[in-house]
Amino acid sequence: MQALSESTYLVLLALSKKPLHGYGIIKKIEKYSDGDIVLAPGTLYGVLTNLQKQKLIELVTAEKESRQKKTYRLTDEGQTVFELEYERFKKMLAISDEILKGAETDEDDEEI
Amino acid sequence: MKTMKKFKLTLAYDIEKEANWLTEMSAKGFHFYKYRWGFYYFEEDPSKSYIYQTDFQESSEEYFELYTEAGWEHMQTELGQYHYFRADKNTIGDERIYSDPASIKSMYKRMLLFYVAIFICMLVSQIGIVLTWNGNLLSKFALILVSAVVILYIFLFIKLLRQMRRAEKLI
Repeated sequence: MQALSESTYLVLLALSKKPLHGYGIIKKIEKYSDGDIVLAPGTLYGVLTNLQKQKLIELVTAEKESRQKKTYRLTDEGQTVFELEYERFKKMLAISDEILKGAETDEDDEEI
Repeated sequence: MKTMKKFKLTLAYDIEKEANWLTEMSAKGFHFYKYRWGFYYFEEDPSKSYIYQTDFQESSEEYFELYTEAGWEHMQTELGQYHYFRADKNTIGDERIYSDPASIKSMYKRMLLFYVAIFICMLVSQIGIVLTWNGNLLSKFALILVSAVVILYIFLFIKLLRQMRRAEKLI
């Protein structure tokens, strides 16, 4: 699988717990990143369109609200793709930590 | 409120330049509110300043809802897919309608595919010129006209590809 773009990953991440409407995705990412990451609407809409084409997310009508508002939900495949990507990120982070920890003993590596 | 209009030709690939121009005009107190046949209509109000942005995308109800909630006022839609938006400079700050170069590249790609489709339709519809060719003045005139349009389209494709490459370099 090809690595997902950062924006694509963030959208899947935002939807991993529960379905959200478009602006809800922006708000969620903004909140959890302490305002550091603000997805722009054009970028988000492009990602949502692509993800729908790939059947990784689907548009569902939220029945609870009086005003019919459509929300985006991860499909089973979308969930799988997200989990794979999440594991990949975790692994990258673990590798980074290992290398950074061993920075001082780097010279020993030459002898191996 | 005082209004004015300005004539300006803008080619499809230059939508970022166009948006910058509208933003500059707005900073001077002239706020774009309508486009018709090459004319840009402005409303004067020195107390305001807007950031203008144009998007190229297939729209839907969710699309406009998203932009509105994100603080962008929809002004107008041209050719079904060009959407003009504006937002108050003070509230929107540094935000724009795209937050990464990859999605800007995708926008130009959508535009390219849109014009390629029109181009192919045009070629198919004009095939009659060749089929009914009899060398008279009318045939020649039609051929020259179509050739000019073909050249214009090729120019447009090159420009759009260049815009895509420009965005790609920033990724």
